[in-house]
Amino acid sequence: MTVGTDQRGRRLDASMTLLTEVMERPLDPGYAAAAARRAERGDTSRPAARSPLTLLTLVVVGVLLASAALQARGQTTAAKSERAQLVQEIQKLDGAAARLQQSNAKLQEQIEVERAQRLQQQAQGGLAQQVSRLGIATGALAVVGPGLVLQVNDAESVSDTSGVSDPRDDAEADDGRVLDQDLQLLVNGLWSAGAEAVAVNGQRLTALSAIRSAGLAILVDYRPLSPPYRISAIGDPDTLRARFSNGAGGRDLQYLKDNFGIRASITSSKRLSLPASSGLDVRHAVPEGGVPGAELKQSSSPTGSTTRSPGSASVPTSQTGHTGDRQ
Amino acid sequence: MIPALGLVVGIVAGLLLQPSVPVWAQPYLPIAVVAALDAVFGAVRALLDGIFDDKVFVVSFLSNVIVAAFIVYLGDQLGVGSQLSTGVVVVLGIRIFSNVAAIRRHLFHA
Repeated sequence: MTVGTDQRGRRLDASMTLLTEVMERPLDPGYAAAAARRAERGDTSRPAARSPLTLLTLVVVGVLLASAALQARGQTTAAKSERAQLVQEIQKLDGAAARLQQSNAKLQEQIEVERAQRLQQQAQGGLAQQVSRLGIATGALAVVGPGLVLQVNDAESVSDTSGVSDPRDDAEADDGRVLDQDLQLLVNGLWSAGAEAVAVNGQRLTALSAIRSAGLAILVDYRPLSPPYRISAIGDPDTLRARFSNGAGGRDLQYLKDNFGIRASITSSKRLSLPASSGLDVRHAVPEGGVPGAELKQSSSPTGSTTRSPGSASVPTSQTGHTGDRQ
Repeated sequence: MIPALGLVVGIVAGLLLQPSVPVWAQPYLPIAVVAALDAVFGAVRALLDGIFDDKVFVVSFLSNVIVAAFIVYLGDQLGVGSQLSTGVVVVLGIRIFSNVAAIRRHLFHA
C-alpha cells in the first residue's frame, strides 16, 4: 500500500497514524528487532520454534481457549436449565393448586349437603332457608339460575399483536386492553341492575372479592385471568339486560366500545351455574350468645367487626367490594 | 508441528480439567482469548517470515493479555467497559486479519 506525500514530504494520511500503524504493521516489531540482533551477532541458526518456552506458552493458550469456550457454553446451559427448572416448578405448583382447589370445592359441597340435612332433621326449615339465602348472597354457595353472560375482550389490535393466551408475556401497555377498572365498572353495573350472583371467568364474586391488576394480568381474588373475560350474572335476563343497558354499566360499556375498540357481547342464558367462592372464611364472627369459649367480646361489640350479620340478608345491590384488600 | 501439538495438548487439558475461572477474572477471559489469538497468529506469521523468536512470542503474548485485561478493567472502573472492550476487539481483530492474510500468502502464494 503506497500513500502519496504532499509538497513538504508529509504523508497525506498523517492525521491517521494510529489506523495506519494498525493496518500496516500487524506484526509485532519485536520479531524484526530480534531477527536483526541475531543477524548482527552472526547467528544464522533457524528461529527457535520448538523451544520449551514456546511450547509452554502454547499450552497455556490452549488451556485459555478451552476454559473460555467452556465458560461461554456453561453460562448458556446454566441459564437454560434454570429456566426449564423454573417452568417445570411453576407447572407443578399450578397443577397442585388446581387439585387443591378442586378438593376444596368438593369438601365445601359436602359440608353444605350435610349441614342442610342436619338443619332439615332438626325441623328448623326456616333456619335452613335462611342459611341458603345468605349463602347465595354472600357467595358461599354454588348457585344456578337464568342470567346474562357479558363477554368482553381486548380490542382486536391488541390481541393480534400479542399472545392472547398469556397476558403476562406482553410488556407493551395498550389502550385497547381491558383493564381491571373496566371490569369493576361492568360488575358494579350488573350488581346495580339487580344481579343476584356474579362470577368473572368462573371466579365467584363476594362482598370481599377484589378485582385488581398485576402487571397486565387482571386478578380476581388474586387469581390471574386471561381474556376473553366472561362475566356471568344471575337474575331475570330481560330485566337485567334492560336495567344494565340503561344504567351506568351500559354507558361505561358503550364508552369502552366506542373509544377503545373493546369487544363486548351480551347473551342471555336460561341456566347459568356459578361456583361457590373459594375465598370465604370466617375470621372474627361467632354466633351471638353461642359457643362458650369463643371470642364473645368481638362478636358483641357494637361497632361489629362481623363481616356479615343476619340483618343484611338482602342481595347486595351495588357493592362489589372490589376495593376490599385483604392484605 | 510440535508447537501445534502443544496447543492441542493445552486445549485437551483445559477440556478435561475444566479449570474454574474465578469470578473476578470472568469479564477479562474473552478479551484475553482475543489477545492470545493475536499473539499466536503473529507468531505463526513471524515463523513463516523466518524471524520467529521465542522470547518475543512469550513477551508479546503476556503483554497482550495483560494490557487487554487492564484496558477492560480500566473501562469497567470508568463505566465504559463494554466500549473499551469493543475497541480492543476491533484493533486486535484487524491485526489478526492482516496476520492471517500474510500467513495465507506464505502458504498458498495467493
